[in-house]
Amino acid sequence: MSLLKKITLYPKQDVDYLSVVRGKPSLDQMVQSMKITPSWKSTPNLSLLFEFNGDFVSSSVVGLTSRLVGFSIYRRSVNDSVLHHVSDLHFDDEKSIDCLYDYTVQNNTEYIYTIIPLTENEAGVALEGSAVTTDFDTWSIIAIKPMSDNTYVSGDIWTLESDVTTNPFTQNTCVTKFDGFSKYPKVSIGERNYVSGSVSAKLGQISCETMQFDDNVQKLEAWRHFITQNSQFLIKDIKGQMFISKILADTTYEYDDSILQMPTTVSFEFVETVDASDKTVYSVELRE
Amino acid sequence: MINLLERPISAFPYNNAIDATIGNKFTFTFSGDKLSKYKINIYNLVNNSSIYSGSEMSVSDIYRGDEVTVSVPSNTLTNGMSLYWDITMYQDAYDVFVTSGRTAKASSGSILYIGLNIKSVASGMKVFINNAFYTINSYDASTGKLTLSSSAGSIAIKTNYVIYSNYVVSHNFPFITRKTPTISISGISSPHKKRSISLTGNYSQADGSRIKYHRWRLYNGNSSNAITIADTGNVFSERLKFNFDGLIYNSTYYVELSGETQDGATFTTGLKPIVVSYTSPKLLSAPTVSIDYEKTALKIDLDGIDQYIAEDTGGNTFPSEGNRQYLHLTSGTVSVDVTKSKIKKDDFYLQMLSRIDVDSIGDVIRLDFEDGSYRKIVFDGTNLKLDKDGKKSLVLALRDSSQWCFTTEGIPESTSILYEWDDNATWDDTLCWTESAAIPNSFVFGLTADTCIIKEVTW
Repeated sequence: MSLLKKITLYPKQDVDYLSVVRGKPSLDQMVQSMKITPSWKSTPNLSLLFEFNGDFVSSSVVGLTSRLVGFSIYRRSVNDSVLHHVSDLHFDDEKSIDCLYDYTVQNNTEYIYTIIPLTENEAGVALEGSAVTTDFDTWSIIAIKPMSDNTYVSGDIWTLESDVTTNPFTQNTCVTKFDGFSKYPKVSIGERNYVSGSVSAKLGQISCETMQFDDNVQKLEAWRHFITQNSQFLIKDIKGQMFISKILADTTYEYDDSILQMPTTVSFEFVETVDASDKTVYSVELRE
Repeated sequence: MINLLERPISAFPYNNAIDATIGNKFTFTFSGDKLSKYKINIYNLVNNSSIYSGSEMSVSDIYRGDEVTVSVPSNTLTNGMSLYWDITMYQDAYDVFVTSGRTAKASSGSILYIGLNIKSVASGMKVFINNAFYTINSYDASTGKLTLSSSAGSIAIKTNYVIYSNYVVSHNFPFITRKTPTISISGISSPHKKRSISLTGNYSQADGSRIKYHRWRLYNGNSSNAITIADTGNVFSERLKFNFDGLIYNSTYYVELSGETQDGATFTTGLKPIVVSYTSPKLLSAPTVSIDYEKTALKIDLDGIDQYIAEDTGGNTFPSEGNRQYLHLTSGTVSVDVTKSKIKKDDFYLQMLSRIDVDSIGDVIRLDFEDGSYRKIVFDGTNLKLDKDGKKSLVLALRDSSQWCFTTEGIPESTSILYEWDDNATWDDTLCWTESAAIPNSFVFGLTADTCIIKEVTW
């Protein structure tokens, strides 16, 4: 499909505004739209708006004195006043950023994002969006790749939602008691403090479209390739826990031969390797 | 009861550099039981000659662990020298062991003979002999003759004696004298009008001392509870550059450049303010945040948050009428490349409010697509027409009530049939939109790749 490339205005006219929105309206919608002067606040899907208030700039950011180069994005949970830096996104000359996915969000938690526009010379006013509450109903295992000290980008994502069984989590700490001749023992506490655990679940699930159990050998092979890769994983459970982990060697799978579809149950053990609370896992989708 | 008097191990200056042109505070930590008086001496490290001898200072309230400060006035010393200093610490009791031995000769009265060339013996010490203490007035190292302040009676040869003192002299603490380095920061404009800043440190030292390490620190205030925004740590380099990106508008930051010379002298610029003031861009609407269940992530939609700058080839202006400011296009064109917005040909709606000049004949607006096709609105002096890749058709017009108004034959209708606008026609204003006034007229243009409609409006 061809894209709109250029818009040109010709002389001998006064132009108050020029706007472009995405979407093809019906004739009636066009008529209704003409009753309203478009604005960044009230017009959905607005892509361009030249208001010609002394400049030739179309931007949903006001107060620009130099070129808009990107955004700083921060996140906080509603009950937390501390902003966590998610990412600085910079525009490319050729591509624009369509959206950012933030994976480092716990389930059943209300989050607010703050956006700061960045120009070549200025940092903009922070603007908070509305709160969003996560309500996932699956476990998710996300392969991640480190980008900097506190930032990772996401790779493949698997969600597990059928017959999920968790074994007891282990909080691995280093507390040692020394019994001596005194009345009380000595107790020394080391720095070690990480979580390990194991999960098993059906690999497939019922497809809403076909109402069939979606499980085949290709899916199993894809899982085996995914879970055995030399990568760190962001593991999130339905309770809301979140671990940056490594998968241990003891990953297993089995299928139920007594059922025609032979549903596969996969199991794996993980061990927390990094505190996920101050880390960010994200991905960016560029405008196609 | 034994009193302890120990040599201090903590002192300043000690392998440091000090500036002799300013008054300096020499300090040491007392590590005996109780100090009664002290005295410092400063010597040339090269030839051990005495440079400065302080006076004995009596104190009454110095105990173990207390820090003692000795002021050395400015210009007492000279910069560019290698020196060392020591402290003589006194207590009341004479129980600091100096030496012991047996008398070399028999003597009587206030004379004793001990060994020759015993360097640790000095006047003021006390000798313990025959169960009594006697103060030593003098010691002749060449003859071993001790002169006492009072008679010790008859002393036989090989009588045991012990000499005590009431003071200890510390170890030597070497140091050097160097002029204080001058250090400053350049690159701070007032006010600073950018979110990023590049600072340069300017360092010089009169005696040629080089920098061992330096450190930049940026704070969000100058009070004790100020937060450190950036800290380079000790950078072992003489390149004094510091870059920071992220200064928030209408804020005051404080920056400090500090460090140490290779001679051990420390330097600092102190806290230098950076007053940041600039017009801060502001988002007009917050991006939409939604839940992506498939990815188990939150999606921050940034589509539409972008910037496009149109190119003006005619030097056009932005006059105002009332509260309205608009683009007055007199010559050339105003065009914008929107390729990066990825707006699909069949998935957009353009709307424009324009007032066309009375003598305007020609193109009003043109849309070009990547496949080479185009759409234009053209005014031929009478009608507004849509030009679709060279094929022209009249533009549909709207009455204010949003009802289509003219038939292709120029007949007003009140039904929902679509009509065309004919600027030459005269119509009943009660039924439809008419061209009651001469051009120029103001129109809202609505344009897709397939359709174009206009609506006359009041400017």
